[in-house]
Amino acid sequence: MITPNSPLEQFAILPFLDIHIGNFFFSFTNSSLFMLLTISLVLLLVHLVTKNGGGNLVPNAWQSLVELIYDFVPNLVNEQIGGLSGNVQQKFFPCISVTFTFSLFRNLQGMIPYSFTVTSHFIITLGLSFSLFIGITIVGFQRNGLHFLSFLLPAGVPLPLAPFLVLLEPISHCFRALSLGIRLFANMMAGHSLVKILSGFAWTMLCMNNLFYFIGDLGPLFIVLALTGLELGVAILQAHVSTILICIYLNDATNLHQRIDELNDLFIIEQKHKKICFDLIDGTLLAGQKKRP
Amino acid sequence: MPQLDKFTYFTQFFWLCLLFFTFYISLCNDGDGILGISRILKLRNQLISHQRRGNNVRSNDPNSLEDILRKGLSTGVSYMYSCLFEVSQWCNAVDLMGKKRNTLISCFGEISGSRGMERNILYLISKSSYSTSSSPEWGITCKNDIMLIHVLHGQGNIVF
Repeated sequence: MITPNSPLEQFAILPFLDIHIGNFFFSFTNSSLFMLLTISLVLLLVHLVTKNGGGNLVPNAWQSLVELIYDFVPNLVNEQIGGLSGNVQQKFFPCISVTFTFSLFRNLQGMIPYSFTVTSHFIITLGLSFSLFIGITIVGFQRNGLHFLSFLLPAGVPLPLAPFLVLLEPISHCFRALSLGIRLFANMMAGHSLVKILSGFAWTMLCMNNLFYFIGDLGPLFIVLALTGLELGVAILQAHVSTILICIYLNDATNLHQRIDELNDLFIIEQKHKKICFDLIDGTLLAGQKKRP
Repeated sequence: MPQLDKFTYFTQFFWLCLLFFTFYISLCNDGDGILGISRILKLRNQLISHQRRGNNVRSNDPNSLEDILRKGLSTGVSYMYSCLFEVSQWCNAVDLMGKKRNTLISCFGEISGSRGMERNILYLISKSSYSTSSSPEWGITCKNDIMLIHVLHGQGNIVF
């Protein structure tokens, strides 16, 4: 009897060290091994780069890479969490930065052949997203007191509609946490299953000792190549999207659905205009000074 | 489907929490990691902006001690120059008249002369400060300088 290999077998969790405490398993599994490996690699990179108090002033290639990854998050935080002082934004920044780095490198590590994709298990992504969302709700309560419950009724709603909205808003709120975790999990799992199925197909065609199949194998092979590229893009994108959404939810929790995005945009535009004017003035100044003997 | 094996849930979550917190603590360590990177970036931005401005008087931080010192010194120097100039002009005018006049009339002349001096000083200071730096932002700082000079001259009058 031939036991068919399922493409979902790659997601199986195999324990390396079994540690039982009563009913609870603390085993060290292949999932934990790969998480540990990736974390240690990332920490090694960051520590080597920022050795002497942050690295050189003129960065080399590795330092530029780390700074690129680092620099992504402050722009996000400053854009999304508007309307608060810089001190408050600084408090949320490390958590978001660590979450982004964590999910980015976990996703990318899954693309290495024969390695285990840690984020393709919904317990991990849901655990992360639920914990962060509970944290965000607690922060919202802390910052706004019981007034936080006012976000359940958005502004500008006619009164007869209000009870239905109040009933629906908590469900929508809870669903955000769920969707954050499931989005990442579904993308990773679907991508890896697809690549596995198509590469199995391509390999079987290659091994069939038939010229017709051999030439026709170029199709699936090319699709596997394209899909791998797509999966790399999806890995980076999903980390990005999760981080942006966390910032947006944080903004909602602390600012209670207030319409400050327009004000924020106006503020940003005003700052840009000021910067342009000052740069023009400086340019003319320098030009004028250079002309004098 | 391996994702639905319930017995793996706890171990996965446990190791996730453990490794995530280890990651967090190691990255947000002082002197290394994220803080080090942010420090280097800030330092670099500051150095680049200073290099770009060169020896220009205007710096990024308007409240810095250096800036206030520079402004104060330039104000004092220009005030002194204008005072000396006006005094020398007035002395020349008095010498040209030749004889010593009555003290009362000379006092009146002094008062009117001092008012004229004040007007001329303000005019000269505004002219000198506009000529030393042709930036339009100095217009605002010049008003502050002029007000400073008012205060200085007023103090001088009170003393006399």
